[in-house]
Amino acid sequence: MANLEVTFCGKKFKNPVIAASGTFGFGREYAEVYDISALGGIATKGITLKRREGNSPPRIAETYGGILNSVGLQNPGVREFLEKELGFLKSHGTVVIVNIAGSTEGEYCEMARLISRSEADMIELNISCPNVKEGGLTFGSRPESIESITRLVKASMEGDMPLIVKLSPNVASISEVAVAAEEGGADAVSLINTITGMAVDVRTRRPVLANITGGLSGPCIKPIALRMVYEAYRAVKIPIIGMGGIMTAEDAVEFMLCGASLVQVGTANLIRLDACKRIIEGLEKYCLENGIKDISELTGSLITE
Amino acid sequence: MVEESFTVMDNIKLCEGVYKMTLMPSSGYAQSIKCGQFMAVEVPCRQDSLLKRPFAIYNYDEEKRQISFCYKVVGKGTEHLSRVEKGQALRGAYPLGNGFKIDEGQKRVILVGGGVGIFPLYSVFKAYPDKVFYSVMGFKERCDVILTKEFEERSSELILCTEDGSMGEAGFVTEALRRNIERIMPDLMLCCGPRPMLKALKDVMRNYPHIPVQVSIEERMACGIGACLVCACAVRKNGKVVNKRVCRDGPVFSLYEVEL
Repeated sequence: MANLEVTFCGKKFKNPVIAASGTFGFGREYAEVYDISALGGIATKGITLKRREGNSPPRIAETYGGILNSVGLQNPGVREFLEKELGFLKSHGTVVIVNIAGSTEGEYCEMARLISRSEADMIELNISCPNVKEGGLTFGSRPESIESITRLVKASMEGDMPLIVKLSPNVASISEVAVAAEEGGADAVSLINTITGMAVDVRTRRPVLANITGGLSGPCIKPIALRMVYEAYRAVKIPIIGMGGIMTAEDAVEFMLCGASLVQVGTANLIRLDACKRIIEGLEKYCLENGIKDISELTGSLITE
Repeated sequence: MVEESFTVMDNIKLCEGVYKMTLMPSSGYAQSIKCGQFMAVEVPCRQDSLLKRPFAIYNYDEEKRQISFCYKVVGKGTEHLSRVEKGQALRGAYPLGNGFKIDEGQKRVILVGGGVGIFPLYSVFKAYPDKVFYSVMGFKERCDVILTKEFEERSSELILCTEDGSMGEAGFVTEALRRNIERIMPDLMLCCGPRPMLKALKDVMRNYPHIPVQVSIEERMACGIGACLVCACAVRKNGKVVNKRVCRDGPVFSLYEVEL
């Protein structure tokens, strides 16, 4: 049998599949559907310093091959998360990545400090949420601000918890923002977050989403995500978590070939509740059929000449 | 709660644009279902309708292990579902949500349904056979009127109305309720319908705050199990408004607490 285990920033992942932030809550609901300890990791719903109620509904729209969401970071706040949710997540023996979003540098730093003292495994810095004004995209769109927020957050963390910076695709150059995160001291980057988009109802002449715009995800964004992972891989030395429209094990392999060490699966969870589990099983089969002994061999092994 | 494959046993037209689909879980194992719960059904092979559609469970036949739901064609997803044929396989997750709950002391129960909002109400008859039910059903016009026989058989009284007066009493269902509620004086009300109807209902019930009202809320959903937070419903509790998940904390809420 192939070795699916991946060591990433010093953390051992059972396999390269992580449930992506915002599609998996804090794992409780999916744990009723299947054994979530099968996952390589779980990235939590985006956490803010204080509780947030999120945007008004409708928060979801369907487009061809994808969905638009505008949840708006509804979450119980970092303290309640640490108190009531983290323990449950940790009890499943999978890597727990806490996704954090702030509206000021101070908020990011305070959350990072609190989480770095907890039993969480990693932090994913969400500077790319397109759905709230203060959702971090102001930090995540310019290389200088990415470097500066990464450095500040890293400095406020205690111990040696790795910091992943989640990159927005809504930027001029993905390699530049990836380099900025690396220079700021990020241990890894994850990409891509959703692409800002919108949907219109021609009968009512209104936008489908109450928030007007939302984040596009799903299979329709995969080619863009792959290109961005490919570019980022050539620009930075730190490892990459690839995501964007992964529905099958083959999709996950494509991201790994382009340079991802791990992948995140988001929208697919909403379509099929056991999507992550099926992708893990599919990866095992792919390795077996293609004579891959260690899945990490795939990372960046795209043949371009 | 499980997600699995089902075989379509039937997909019949009830009236123009409204269908009833009956499914059988291919695992053969049937989950226990509470009245007012719903299921989420995939639209097979459609790239423009990736998400499962939530539908209230209309009936559950334990012996045959068949689940049915009724739906109105309102968009691409339901349009494609209406073309699904008997014998086809499709995936779905069930049972989802909290459902209606009738307490022991609540004997006289009034069901108020507007249009396709009558569907989630039907399941309470079987779940609570010892209660006395009164049904008030409202439709736009005669050609929309469906399932009256099913409700009539199980209710001690059925009040039917159409907005244009082409069948039953003329006018909105909420007005028919206003005329009859003092006479019936129920211990509990269960309702479902479009937002304007629910708003009007809230107004009618202002005079009867001692009658609890459970409402089944509809909202666009994604995961259906409470993880993605897409189907928010603003609920006021102790003066504070918080967003609840329709798919998990609902779909049944207290009408008085829901912000419409």
